[in-house]
Amino acid sequence: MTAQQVSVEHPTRETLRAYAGTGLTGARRTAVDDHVARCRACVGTLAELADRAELARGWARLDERLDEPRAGLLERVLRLVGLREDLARITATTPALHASWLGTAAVIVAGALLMTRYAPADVAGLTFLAAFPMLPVAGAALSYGPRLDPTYELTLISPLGRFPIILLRTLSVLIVLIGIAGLGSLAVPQEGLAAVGWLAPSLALTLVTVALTVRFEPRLAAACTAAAWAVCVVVTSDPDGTSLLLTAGGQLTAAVLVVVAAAAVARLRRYFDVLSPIDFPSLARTAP
Amino acid sequence: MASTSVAVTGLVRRYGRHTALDHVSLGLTKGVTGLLGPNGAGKTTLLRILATAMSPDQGSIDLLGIDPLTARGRLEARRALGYLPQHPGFHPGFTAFEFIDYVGILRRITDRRQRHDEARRVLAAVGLSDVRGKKIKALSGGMRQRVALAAAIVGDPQFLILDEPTVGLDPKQRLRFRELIAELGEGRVVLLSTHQTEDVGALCQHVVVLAGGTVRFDGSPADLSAHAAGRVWHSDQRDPGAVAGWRTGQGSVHNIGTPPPGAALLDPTLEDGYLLLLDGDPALEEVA
Repeated sequence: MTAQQVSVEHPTRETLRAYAGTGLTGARRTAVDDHVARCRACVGTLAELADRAELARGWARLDERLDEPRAGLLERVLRLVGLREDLARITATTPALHASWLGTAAVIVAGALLMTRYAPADVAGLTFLAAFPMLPVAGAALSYGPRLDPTYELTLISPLGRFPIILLRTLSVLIVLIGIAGLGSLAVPQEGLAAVGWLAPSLALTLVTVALTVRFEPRLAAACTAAAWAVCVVVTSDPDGTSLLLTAGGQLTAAVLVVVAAAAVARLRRYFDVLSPIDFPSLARTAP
Repeated sequence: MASTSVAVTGLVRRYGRHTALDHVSLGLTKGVTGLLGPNGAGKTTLLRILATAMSPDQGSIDLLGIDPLTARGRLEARRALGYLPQHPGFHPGFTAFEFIDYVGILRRITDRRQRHDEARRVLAAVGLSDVRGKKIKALSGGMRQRVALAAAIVGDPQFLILDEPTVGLDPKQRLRFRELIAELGEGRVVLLSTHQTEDVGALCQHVVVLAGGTVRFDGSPADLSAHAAGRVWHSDQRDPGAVAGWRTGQGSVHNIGTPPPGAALLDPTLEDGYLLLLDGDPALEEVA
């Protein structure tokens, strides 16, 4: 690009001399960085003003600034809450944390709220309990897998190991979805335990799904968990809209399941890197 | 001193009743080894096992002195190898630099400056320095493939696994890729899976032919060509006794098989040797 095509005013020779000697800081240096990245005339002037070593250092610094990866909103939020840069990037690439999927989850929560308000009492009372635990289960299924993550094969052979990546992504999805569902619960405080009774089952079912992914493809694992949960809700509920799962005993049982499932996941952790029988389901299916 | 070779012994991998690899043994040393074989021969399964993306049912692997079938060895092996999958995927919003930076994160380069320097180094090595700030989705197919190759050499791995890297590239891009692979083969072990016998002839010091899950040939390209010595001839019409034959640009028919008495014999090519080696294999019937 020629100097004439650069819309901003050229820095003075004095400014360029100061820039070459890194005598500029902050916004002034950034402005000159941006200008010389696009202006050949000023690059020529810089070459006259600076000695070679200084110039090389300047170009290296400019390269570094221009190459700097642009963090998305989610990655910036994760880093604000203290997550390390590398872990924040791995988390931000989780398929289930894409805006489209989170939007779907928000719509489901809004739908559940509408049902609570307008559906008959026997249906409304169980809406949160039946629907909300499905969200993190689905999120766990969409956190990791051959058809969802474009860099799946590179993730599989990461020296980080598969388990930390799966756990990091699943926990992030769990936290975000619990947040969305929690906002839904806050909107209906009159529902009491029915509005928060989904929390312990959500944790338990998500952990069960993660444990099952040792042996099954994530979406199959989630489908099995979700089906089992649907049966459990139906079997433990009465026609008037109450459920054993919403009693203290039911919640205690769910809490015990959380502990058992967490222990199972911890115990199975080394197998995530060894047993990957369904890692390449298309390959397994097409084999004669 | 660490080993500079890769050896697999008695490797078996099954998908249900289908045996994809049946007691495969081979050794790889520094330089480029070509892995040839028809579709379904087990090439990708072998490559995925060597890349630690998949575990074998039986057999042992010595990967640069590391046993990747143990928990600790697996993570160590992943640091020592680079893998270019058959269908490399990219996060659509990433620039070339951001993608390589992400791969650096997956490869556990936690120091940001070091990771960025490495990203610049590998992008320069594949000739993509000038487009490193461009979104990958805006790059041509050949450039994307070079980005994938750059990703495979992040961290300077001593064992490089390339699964059909030249598929879909035009002749000029293929030539560029050949140069890159030849450079990479100097000083490290490179395993190149391909259907292109010309690439093997041009690049490889060693060639392995896999068919039906077993090693059918293991030797030099010259030895593979010699397999067809005295069994290649040309004629005006397709010879009914030929295993395969096709009319060439010069108008005569290139036959391979058992020549009739007095046939005009030709010097065999690598492709002739390869096709005769697979005589009776369904892949050859497609050619014939």
